[in-house]
Amino acid sequence: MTTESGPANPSNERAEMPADRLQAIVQLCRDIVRCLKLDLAIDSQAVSGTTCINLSGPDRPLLLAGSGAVLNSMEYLVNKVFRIGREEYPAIVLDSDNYRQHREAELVLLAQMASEKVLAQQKPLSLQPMTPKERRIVHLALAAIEGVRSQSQGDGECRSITIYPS
Amino acid sequence: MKELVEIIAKALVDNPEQVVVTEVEGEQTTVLELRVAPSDLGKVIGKQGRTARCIRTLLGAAGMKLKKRFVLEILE
Repeated sequence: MTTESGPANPSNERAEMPADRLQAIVQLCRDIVRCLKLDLAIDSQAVSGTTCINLSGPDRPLLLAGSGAVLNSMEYLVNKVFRIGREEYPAIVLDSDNYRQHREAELVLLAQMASEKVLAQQKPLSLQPMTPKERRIVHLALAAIEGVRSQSQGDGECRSITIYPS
Repeated sequence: MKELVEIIAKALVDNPEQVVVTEVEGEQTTVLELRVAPSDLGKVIGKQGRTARCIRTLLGAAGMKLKKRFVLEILE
């Protein structure tokens, strides 16, 4: 649907997330950050298929400590409030100055280094527990590496990848 | 932090008017007691306690910043 229906906000024509909904999402993020007394600015961006909320400011280290624990918790809660049972809306992604992209590069590097170790020692190696999205990145990276195979073990927060020589 | 728990709990449940948070201040630890409608209990706890754990993670971050400890208790 690219036909312009009116003069109001023609640039938003293709955004799948309604403006009032996006505003409510941003407001919830702002409320959480304000209550936590964190010094972070919030802005939003609708990128094809996802709604991206960026949090940036002096308290970024606190947000990203422990592999993005606070950022991931906020992301989960915001999605739970606005998306569960209403999956027709795009996924809400919380990011902080390209943290997600940097983390992905870091995980790919980790997969390479860990698989080298597995190949050298010919012994299985378990990685730290990760979120489903992070495990997916690592599994995909490992799938491209010859001589190793990977499998996830454990439940919930403790689920982690083990790399085996194949 | 009472407001934080209230905002999140009210956003999650079906009966926001029944969300009650009481703050019990200790010397170093503040206990936040959350009460919701019995039918909403699962919403604030989540699968394998994931939602409750996320709220606790947020409280942990606030605690680091304010050099305090916040404990979330969900009461039936």
